[in-house]
Amino acid sequence: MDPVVELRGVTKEFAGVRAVNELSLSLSLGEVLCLLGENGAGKSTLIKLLTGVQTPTRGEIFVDGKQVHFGSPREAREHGIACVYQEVGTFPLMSVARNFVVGAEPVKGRWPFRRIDMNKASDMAISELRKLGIRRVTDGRRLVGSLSGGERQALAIGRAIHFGARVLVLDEPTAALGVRESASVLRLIKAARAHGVAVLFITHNAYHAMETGDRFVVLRHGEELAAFNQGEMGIEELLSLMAGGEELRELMAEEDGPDGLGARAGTP
Amino acid sequence: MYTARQKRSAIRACALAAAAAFLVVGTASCTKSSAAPTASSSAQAASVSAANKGITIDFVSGPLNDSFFPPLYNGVKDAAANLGVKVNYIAINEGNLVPSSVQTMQAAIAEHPSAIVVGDFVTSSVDPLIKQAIAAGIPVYVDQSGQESWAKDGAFGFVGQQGGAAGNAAAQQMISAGAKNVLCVIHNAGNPYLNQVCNGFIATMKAAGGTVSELNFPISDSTNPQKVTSDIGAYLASHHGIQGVFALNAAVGTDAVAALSQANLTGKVKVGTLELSKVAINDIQNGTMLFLVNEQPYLDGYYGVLFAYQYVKYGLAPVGTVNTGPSIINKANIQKVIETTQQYPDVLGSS
Amino acid sequence: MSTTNAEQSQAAVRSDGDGGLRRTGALHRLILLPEAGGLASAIVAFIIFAILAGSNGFMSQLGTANWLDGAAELAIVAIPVGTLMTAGEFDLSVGSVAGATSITIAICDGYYALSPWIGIVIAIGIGVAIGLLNGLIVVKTKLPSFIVTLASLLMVAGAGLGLANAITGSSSISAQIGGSAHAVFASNFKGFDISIAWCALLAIIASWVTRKARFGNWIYATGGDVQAARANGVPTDTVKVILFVCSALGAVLVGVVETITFQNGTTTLGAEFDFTAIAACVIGGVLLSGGYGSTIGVLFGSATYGIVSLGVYYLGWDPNLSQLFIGLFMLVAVIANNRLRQLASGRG
Repeated sequence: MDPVVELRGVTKEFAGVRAVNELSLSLSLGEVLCLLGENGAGKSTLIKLLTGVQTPTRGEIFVDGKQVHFGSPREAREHGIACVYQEVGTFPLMSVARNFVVGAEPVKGRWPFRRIDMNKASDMAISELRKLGIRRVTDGRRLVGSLSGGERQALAIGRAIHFGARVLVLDEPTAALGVRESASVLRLIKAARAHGVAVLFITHNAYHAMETGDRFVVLRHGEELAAFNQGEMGIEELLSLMAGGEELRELMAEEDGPDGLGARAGTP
Repeated sequence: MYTARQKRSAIRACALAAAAAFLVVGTASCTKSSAAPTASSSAQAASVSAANKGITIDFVSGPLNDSFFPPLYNGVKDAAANLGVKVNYIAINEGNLVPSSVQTMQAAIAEHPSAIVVGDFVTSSVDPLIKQAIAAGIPVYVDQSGQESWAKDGAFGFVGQQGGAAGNAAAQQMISAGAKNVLCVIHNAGNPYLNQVCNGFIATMKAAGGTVSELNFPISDSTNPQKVTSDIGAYLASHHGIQGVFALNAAVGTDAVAALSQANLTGKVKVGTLELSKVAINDIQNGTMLFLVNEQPYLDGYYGVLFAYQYVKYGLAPVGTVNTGPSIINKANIQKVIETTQQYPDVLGSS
Repeated sequence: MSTTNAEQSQAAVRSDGDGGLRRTGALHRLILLPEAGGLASAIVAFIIFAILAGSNGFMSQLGTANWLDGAAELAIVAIPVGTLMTAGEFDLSVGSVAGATSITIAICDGYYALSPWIGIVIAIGIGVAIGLLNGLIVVKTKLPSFIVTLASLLMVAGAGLGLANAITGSSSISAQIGGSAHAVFASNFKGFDISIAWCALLAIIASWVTRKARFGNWIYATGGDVQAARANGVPTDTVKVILFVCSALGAVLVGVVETITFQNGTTTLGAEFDFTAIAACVIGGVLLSGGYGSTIGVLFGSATYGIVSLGVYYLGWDPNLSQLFIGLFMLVAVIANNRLRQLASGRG
């Protein structure tokens, strides 16, 4: 299947620092791509490039085979790329219905009395939540702050899908959640995939990645360190790779460590 | 239904609010009845005598954070205590001068007291309200300011001083001391009374061939001595040839003395001010300040209440204007002032 | 339809994060409203003063008009300030804009003897310009609006004072304005100012926009999480600039009303609004951190402040105490409001 989004040789420099270097990536519909890597590996910059917050210094971005330039998040959104943030990005003091339609509110009536169709917004929200398996939220007027973490994620994801997102960028969605909540989010990711959406799942939790991913890319210093499909690598190897793997072992084994402390006397 | 925990929380919150409210109200009422008068004997206390039970006087005047008004307020309290009459002192907010002048008068009218004594500082805004009060059957006595318009408004008298007269008297002092090029410092830009004082000052100086410049700063700065001192010092440094500084309240006057001392101009530049304070009195004594213009605010307060009371009770009042100032205090008559201040600290001026 | 009328009229069932179930009744629904705290404060304030000062004229027609006028004028500037706060920004320059408006009208009418409407139009122009300047600087430089509008507060106040002194030699100018301008902005019916009507009009418009219109949703989103709002396509910069212009125009309106009502133009008119507007908003339930608040709440907050700040005149207390009382009351009102909201959202 042709990829829906493709990055070819993308580089992003900030004041002499290369956050992303000659990176190529592709996302296909109905597929979960897990992006792994330690802090500073370039994951957040990559997200910003994909969602139109930043533009690449070099390289091209393609959507449906055609080259695109995103001048703003709005443009990225119009091409069907939506991002769901680590901080969830829903508004805890707004109701479920309002949250759901932020930026794309359904309206009724004629100017100057054009107003939000709250009933429609509420219905949309509740029904999308239901499609993602959330049944306990039945009142669109509830404040989002009263929802659990998993329910809030479902709201954000349901919103993105409802408004035509074909590519879902999930930035560390399970980072702040406990085991129970994380499990429900992973179920959401699979439900989204079943919807026919392309999911870019950014995480530093290898277990969560293994549970859901179809393909995996590990980043280091803005470059691709490893890329493989589900089944090609075991969890132990992946953990080791993410923790630093080869490089870490070398650093630990050095006679004179990087800070001059050196190996303890008598150690081989 | 609520959980037990929620119910306890709610009860606690309500109890807290109620307690706070009662605390404040209780403290206030206790303090009100025990507010002791200053110079007069405390045996008479602030209780209303039976004969005067039906008389209430509303006294609309300035706030106590402006150093001019505490002596005035003490005069009000003493008169109320001595006469055994109820007086409600309504303080105008100088930070919001114009609207507050109107709102305080409106409140006084709404209270429908036996008489209103009002400091008419913003005549264009307050004169219509004086007329409104009189039309509603409340006699009005004008106090401190409003000397041009009280008769037209239908008020039954005026006690205070002419702002211009204060300025004239101050100018005379400067001229006698040989200062011809003088600075007038206005600490509350927008207060018409202060403008009148300064204008009177300018008129007399000009007539004697002198020149006057003005320095304005907003009232928020005037309560900051550092700021005032450095502002005056900066002005003197950039305008050579200033021979005298005339301030419009005691705090600014003493700040001007400080500015001169910092610039080593003490003795070369004369300083005079409106209003008294302990520090200013010391400055007169040791010669760093030339004169004080005493508006005698205590009398403004006392007479305001006294005249209103006599008018309400007997229909008697002085005819026309009663002048409580300006009176000049300088090295010649400082001794009596010092004695009075020591014995009765809150009557002549602030500390 | 996922929620029918029958379901709505029953107690709604909500679930907790920990799996517990609680039923919420109609009363709980009332407390949940953002206006609840402000309404409670206003009611308590009124009751306290009715008890303490009712016999002194506080409840008379003139007495009621007294605090209602003050509350209305405060609300005229507090409502747009509160709406801007809901979007996450502060405007401290409103006082200076009111003062600049005041002096402009007084100079045009009193000094140049032009029609007051000319002064009003110029003042509107000045307000729009300052609002735009505040808004554009905030969104372009990303500096905290607290700082930016503090700077404009000083600049506008200084410019106003300088101009007034340069043109007329005074910073307080009499403005005896009658005719149509007086009828529109300062007419009075049995003590009740037309500012009450202006306030009501503003409240209706603002309430409708924030609660019903798309733009209103954008305001809450911008204040709740500006990055998420942007990511969802909300034009947050435009929202903020528009609201900065609105708060400046609110200041212009109250400047016009007060100048013509009190027949005096002064550069310091409205300086208090910088603080009292924020106080009214906080009592009215507007969160300082943004994303939450209601127009009606701000109305109640303004009413509370009006009742307390003017009610003290009827008490006959030592004036030192009145200031203390106002401050203490505001503090208790804010704390109680906060507690109420915590209770309502289930964290009590």
